[in-house]
Amino acid sequence: MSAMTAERTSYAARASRLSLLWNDLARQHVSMGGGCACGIGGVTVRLEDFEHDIADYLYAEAERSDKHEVLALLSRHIQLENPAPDEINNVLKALANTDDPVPEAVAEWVVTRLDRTLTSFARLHGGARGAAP
Amino acid sequence: MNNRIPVSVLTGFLGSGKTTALNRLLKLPELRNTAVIINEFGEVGLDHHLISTSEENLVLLANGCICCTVRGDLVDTFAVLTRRHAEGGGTIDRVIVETTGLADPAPILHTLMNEPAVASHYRLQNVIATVDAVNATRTLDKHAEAVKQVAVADRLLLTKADLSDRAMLEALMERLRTINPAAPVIDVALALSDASVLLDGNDYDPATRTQDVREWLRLEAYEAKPDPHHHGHDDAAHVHHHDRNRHDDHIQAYAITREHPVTWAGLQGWLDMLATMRGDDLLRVKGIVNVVEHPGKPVVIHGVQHIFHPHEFLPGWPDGDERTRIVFITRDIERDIIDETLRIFENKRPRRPRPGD
Repeated sequence: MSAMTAERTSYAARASRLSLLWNDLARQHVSMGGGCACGIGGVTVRLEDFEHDIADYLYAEAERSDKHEVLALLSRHIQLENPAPDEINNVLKALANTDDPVPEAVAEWVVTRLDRTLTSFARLHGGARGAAP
Repeated sequence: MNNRIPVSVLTGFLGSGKTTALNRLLKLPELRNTAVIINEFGEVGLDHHLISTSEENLVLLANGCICCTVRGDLVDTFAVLTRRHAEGGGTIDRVIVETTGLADPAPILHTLMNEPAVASHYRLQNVIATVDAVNATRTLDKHAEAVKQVAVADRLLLTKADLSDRAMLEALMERLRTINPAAPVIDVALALSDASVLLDGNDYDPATRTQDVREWLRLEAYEAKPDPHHHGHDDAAHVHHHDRNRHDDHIQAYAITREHPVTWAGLQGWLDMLATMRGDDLLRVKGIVNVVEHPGKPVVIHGVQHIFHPHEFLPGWPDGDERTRIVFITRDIERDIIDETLRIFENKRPRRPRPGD
C-alpha cells in the first residue's frame, strides 16, 4: 500500500469513526430543567438539532479558504437554503467510502475540522444530565 | 430604571458566619435603610431571631425550600417591600437577601434577574459568599454546594481569619482563587470598617453605567488564575494530598475572547444551545459582545445556569476595547468545548444565498 493510499484510508477510517460517534449521539435527547419551576422545564434538545449549524460552519470555512474541491463535496450533501437531515452524516459517509475515494487534501481538510467539532459536541453532550436515547 | 434598589445576595455554608457578619454589618450607620430578606431552611426559623434590624424591613420567607419554589415567595416578598416603600413606610436604600446555608443561590438570582415584578424595582448588585477561614477547606472538600456558592460569588467575605494561621490562610486563598479568580476576598473586619468595599459595585447596570466594564468582568483575573495542579511549593501549606475527585476539580473558570464581531443569530443560537444542553453546569456567565448587526453597540450578557438576563445593548463601548469578552465559571465544561462551539456559531447567519444563486 502506498503512503498516499494509506493516508487516504486513514482519513476514511477517521470519517467512519466520526460517523459512528455522531450517529450514536445525535438523536439522543437532553432534557433541561425537568424538575425546575422556572418555566423552562420540559425542553429537550438533540445534537442533530445543531447538525445544520455545523454544516453551515463547514461550508462557510471552505468558502473563506477558497477550497473549491471541498465546496464541491459539501454542496452535494449540504443545502444551505433548505437544510435536510443527516447532512454531516452524509458528508462523513462520502469520506468513509473507500470505493469512491475523495481527494486526500479534501478528506484531510474536512476530517480534521469535523473531528475537532464533533468531539467537542460529544464532550458537551457527554456531560449533560438527563441524556437519554 | 436608574433608581432601582440594589440587592445583594448573601450566601455561604452553614456555620460560616453569615448571620453574625450580617448582624454586625446591619449596625453600621450606612446600612440603616437596609431591608433584609431571609430564606430559611428547616422547621425552626432561627435566623430571624439573630438578626437585628427594624422589624418593618425584615421579611422572613415562610417557604424554606431551596429549589425554584422559592421564586414565588421571593416575588411576593419583594412586592411587600415595594408596597411599603411606595406607601411611605420607610426608606429602603438596599436589600440584602440572606440564603440558607444549604441553598443554591441560583434560583434567587434567576428571580432577581428575570422576574419582571422584581427586576423593575430592584437590581442584582452582587453575590457575596461567606468563607470561614478555619473550616472552609474541610467544607469545600465535603460539600459541592459550598464550592458552588464560592464559584458564583462576586465577592468572598472571609470570617474567622483571626482564628486561622498564615499557612492555612494562604492555602485557602490559593484555593479560592482557583475556584473563582475574579472574586476579591474581603476580611470581615475590613467590611465592618467600610461596608462599601463589600456591598457596592460589581453590578454592571447599562442604565447607569456606574461600573467600568473591566471591573465587572475582571478578565485579567481569569488569565492570571493559579494552576490548581501546580505543586512547586515547599511551603507546608501546599503539602497536601490532592484528591482529583474533590469538588473544586469540577469547577472551571476562564475567559473567551474574540477579535471579530459575532452575528446576533450566532450568539443567541450558541447561548441557547449551551443553556439547554448544560445549563446546570453554567454557574456564571458574564460578557460584553461585539455583534455584527449592531456596530458600536455592544451587548451585555449575564447568565446563571440556564437563565440569562435579558440582553441589553450599550450605547457605546465603555472602555475602548471592542473585543468580545465572555467569562465563564462552569462545572465540568472545559474551555476548549466552549471555544469550539462558539466557533461553529459565531458566523451563523439566518439565511445565506448559495454562491452563483
